[in-house]
Amino acid sequence: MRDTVIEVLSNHFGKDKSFDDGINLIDDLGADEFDIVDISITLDEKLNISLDEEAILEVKTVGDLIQLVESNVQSN
Amino acid sequence: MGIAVLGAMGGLMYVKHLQSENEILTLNNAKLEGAVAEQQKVIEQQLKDIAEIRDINKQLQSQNEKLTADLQVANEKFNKVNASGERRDIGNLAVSKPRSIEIIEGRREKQRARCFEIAQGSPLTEEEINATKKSEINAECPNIANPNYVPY
Repeated sequence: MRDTVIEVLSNHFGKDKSFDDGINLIDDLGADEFDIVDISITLDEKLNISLDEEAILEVKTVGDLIQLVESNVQSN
Repeated sequence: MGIAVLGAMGGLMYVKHLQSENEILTLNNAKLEGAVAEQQKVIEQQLKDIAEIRDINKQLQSQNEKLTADLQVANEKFNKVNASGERRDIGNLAVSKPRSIEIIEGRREKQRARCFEIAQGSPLTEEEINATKKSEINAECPNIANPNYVPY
């Protein structure tokens, strides 16, 4: 799961970036809120899940995103 | 003698006829001069109108160029390209995740309202002054809302 999230993030932001758990999507990777929605759609498609539309906007870090995806996969 | 009288009468009639024609020509000439003056006024007005239309066209062209530039900036901002070269489409995002986009728009709307307040003289809050990270700023008008934010 983690690998898929990192792969999606690196496709989106560039393979030269760091995607450690503490990395902030907006402050460290330069994302805006629309980027986060875009990433959530890609993850939905890749993992056949449906990330919560409100919860996705509360995600701050790479770790938060991985956690949200994992909890979503488990509940499916 | 008779011939002389007839000749004098004929001459007099001819002169009268010439005088009458001359009066008509004078009147016509006055009318023509009036018409020419009117035409000149119309031409002057038309030239003024043309100059005004040219000015308005220039202004419109300038505004159009600004709007096109603004649209391009907005387009780049909303439909930006990611590291893989894929262009983000806000319309598609809104179809797939309408609630998320609605929330984002609600947040942006609040930020825009705050921009207007600041522009009208509302003092900045401590939070706004101290914001240095992208996640802390007012994304709609960081240049006036977050003086310590340096885009990175």
